[in-house]
Amino acid sequence: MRVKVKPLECTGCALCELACSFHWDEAFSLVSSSVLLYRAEEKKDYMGVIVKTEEDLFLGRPEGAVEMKLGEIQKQGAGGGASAKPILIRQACDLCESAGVEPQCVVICPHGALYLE
Amino acid sequence: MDAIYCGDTLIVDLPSGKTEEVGFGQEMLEENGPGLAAGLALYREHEDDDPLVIGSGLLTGTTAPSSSLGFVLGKSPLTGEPAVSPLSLFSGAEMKLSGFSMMVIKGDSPGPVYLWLHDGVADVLDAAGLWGRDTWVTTDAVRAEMGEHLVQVVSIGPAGESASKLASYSINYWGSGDTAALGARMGEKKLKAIALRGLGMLDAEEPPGFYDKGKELLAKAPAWNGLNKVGNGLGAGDIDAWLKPIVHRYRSCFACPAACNTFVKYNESPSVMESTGVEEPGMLVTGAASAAWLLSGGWKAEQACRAMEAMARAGIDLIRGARELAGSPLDDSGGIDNAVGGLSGEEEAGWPGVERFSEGLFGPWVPPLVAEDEWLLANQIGYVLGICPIYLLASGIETGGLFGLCSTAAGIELDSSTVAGMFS
Amino acid sequence: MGRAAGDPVFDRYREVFLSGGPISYPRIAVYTGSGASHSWIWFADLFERLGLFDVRFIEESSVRHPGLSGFDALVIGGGDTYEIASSLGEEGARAIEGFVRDGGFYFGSCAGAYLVLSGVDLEPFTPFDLIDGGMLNTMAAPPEPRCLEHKYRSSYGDGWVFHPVYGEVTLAPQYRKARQGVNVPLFGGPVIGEALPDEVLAVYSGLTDRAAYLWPRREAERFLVGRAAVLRSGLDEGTAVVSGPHLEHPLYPAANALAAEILAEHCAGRPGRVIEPSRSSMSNGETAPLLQEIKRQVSNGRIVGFGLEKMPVAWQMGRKVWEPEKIRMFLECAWGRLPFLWERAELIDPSGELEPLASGYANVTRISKSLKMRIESGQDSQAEASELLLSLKELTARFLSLYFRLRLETRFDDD
Repeated sequence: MRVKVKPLECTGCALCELACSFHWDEAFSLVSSSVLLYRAEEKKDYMGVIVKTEEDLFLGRPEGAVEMKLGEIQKQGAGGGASAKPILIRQACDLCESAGVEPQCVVICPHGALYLE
Repeated sequence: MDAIYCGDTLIVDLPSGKTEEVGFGQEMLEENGPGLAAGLALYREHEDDDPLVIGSGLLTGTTAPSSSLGFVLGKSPLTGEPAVSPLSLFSGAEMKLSGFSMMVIKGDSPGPVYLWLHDGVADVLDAAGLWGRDTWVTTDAVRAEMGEHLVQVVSIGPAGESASKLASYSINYWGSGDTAALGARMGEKKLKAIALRGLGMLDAEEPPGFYDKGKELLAKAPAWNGLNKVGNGLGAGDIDAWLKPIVHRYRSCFACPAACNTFVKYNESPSVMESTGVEEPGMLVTGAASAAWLLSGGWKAEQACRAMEAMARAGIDLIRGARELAGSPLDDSGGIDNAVGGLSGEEEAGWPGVERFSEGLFGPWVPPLVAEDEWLLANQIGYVLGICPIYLLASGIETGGLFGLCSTAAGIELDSSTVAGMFS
Repeated sequence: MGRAAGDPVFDRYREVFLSGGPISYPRIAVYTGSGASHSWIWFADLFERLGLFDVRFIEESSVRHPGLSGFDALVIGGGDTYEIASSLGEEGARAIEGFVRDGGFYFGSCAGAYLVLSGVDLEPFTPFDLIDGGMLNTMAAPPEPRCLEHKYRSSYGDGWVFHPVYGEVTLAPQYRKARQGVNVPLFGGPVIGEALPDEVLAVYSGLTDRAAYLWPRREAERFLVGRAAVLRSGLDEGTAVVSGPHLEHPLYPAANALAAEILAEHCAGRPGRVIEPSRSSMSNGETAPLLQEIKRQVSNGRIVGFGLEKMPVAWQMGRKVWEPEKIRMFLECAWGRLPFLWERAELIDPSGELEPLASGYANVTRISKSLKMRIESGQDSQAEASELLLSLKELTARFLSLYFRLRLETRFDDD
């Protein structure tokens, strides 16, 4: 079971990041979550959602979601956008099990862009 | 105070280029109220120095629904009276996270400058190389200089630099809803841009209580895509259907369930989802009013959006500009650029076919979807709490729950009448 | 991190070390020289939590000369073991052994553990031989990993050192009364074999969901469970301890407590040093602007570092893979401690201590921005990254040296 992304449902509100950061730190920030809204290409409106686990990243890219093993990205070399993101420093998603609640990013998303499978 | 606000009030003295920090604490909040209410107190305190006051609401940057709002407060060149314009998208939240609760910008700089606010550090930087550039070039340049694409850039274009009464600041590349020409005030101050970035955290006084309440409100908060929900109540036409052939995606402001911002692509197919070599494929339509004017004026969607892009680049108020362009639809890009360049600024902001309220502090960025007194209260609550007043009105969300959040956020008890009292 | 730092487990050790009682207050050297990666920062966090502020950050040259006689403890953490061994050389190895035999305490974690195990006996490791033990995680041809290929293995002689699991594991401490399992991260450290039974302080006892399984989980479990993770050996007057996992990791207070207990046991009954703090006021009109400049540049660097974390790149330095996230790790180490510098500004020498930091962090920001531009334009970034990470390591060591000096001088101020 893991958190997956329906990329085109996402509207970029970042509530998932806030919920996840609250889960880890009991505070609101946009730097410490296991789920990351990729929004660094604003003029192109290229936006995705990435979920980090211990072994891989779920890349919710707008052109199609994919799971990518950590390390595979470095092997592939340069690439743009949400498809190329090793977020190794952040804590891996634990489905909010450490807090004894259901995954909060899934609960809080207003558009159902995140789901459990 | 630590809860919910990030730091002190920054005082920027543009003539000297110096900055100082003044405490922003619980006392300030309790005496004046949070958000725009505190901003008004600061404005009055520094009124002789012709200030621009910039800040965020109590709940901005949290999981309260639509908690994206910051504000810019200053004397509007259109009225000679204090007026407030919004900081939306991610700029309001980034202001909160920048490490300063409020900022007072006093006087005029001798040469072009921009402000760089980052994690409690305020730098006044030379903007000579940016002066004369449009807001897109400016935003790109500032982000490249800071090495981070997520820096929020509130900037003026040539319109603001010449203190045109049509001027409006842009938020990154997009229209801001500044209908008070505060972009012109920035230009008079030689303040080219304000760049914001913060890697901090916001604490609530009762974190689990705040989070759970916010989540409850979000679960009940209406969500939608598109601009119709905002425009329909005013008979503004079917904006969403008009834009649909060129719509790429819908975007929300920070923490907002409503994705009314509409990204359209006309320099590549809107169905292209991957990041391609086309660097500027289109634009983000951030307001229903400007779209409504151009739709009602017979413009085709693509040309209307190109016109809005040109206005956003130049730092022109999209609402007033669109109103002036409405009666003269154009087909070619060259004609559009010329038309935008020739705007006179004679038109007032407003909505097609709707009489404008006598707004005073607040402008017609917020649509008159309800009676004037309700509209006024929605603005007051929105700017004090940091919740988008457009979302408050269009969603019908109960404000009682938001006031409940204020208590768990900062131990402050508020209701509609106390908020209204902050403005009397 | 804040929650971990505030864990009440540290209170007991802080009291013990600061009370001036039978447990002496050690002067500690943290190795930050060639081959050390970033995890030595975690030792700084650990010692701070324990109230141990007599800490210096030293490179290989200082190990060799003037040597370690001025210290009571030496810790070597994670990194490129080959590089550490080569740069310390035989002279460094002799210095470390002599230091321990004379009564010193050696703690080696991850690379620092491989370094001194007797069974790690190829060049350049042969001069280093403090603890009997070999590494079991070596094979001529390890099976292909399920994931994290870039972290899975490194060459060793004709074969490979490999890592079947990367992340959180559970240890069972083997001494004193039985206690609960201790969770701790294993990031490439040794699985130890051929150890003397009475030298085994903890064994690997289980796996958790918070790890990446480069081998299938069951096979990783079979390989690991029951094997030695932490060893301690007495050498004449001193003590050598090696740990495969990072007992010093800042998110694991129970593991930190285990490390603290081992250190406290060594320090019990040993003569303490006389610490002569000098609390002379050194600030002048330059102090505040320099502190502000440091804050400015660390902030700028963090922001660029955050942006770099989204870049699809990693850099190989020696046998170690560095990811962009490490840039911000170094900067966060300073960022969190800046307010304390402001509080104690009067005790800081502006020109000797603050100026190098201010110019150093400005340089870091400059290189970071240049690095980002190179990556975005598709140019090779290896040289820039090497320069940046080396600068950050040296700068962070300098910053922490200042910080710990101030903490030492003011350690009783709140009493």
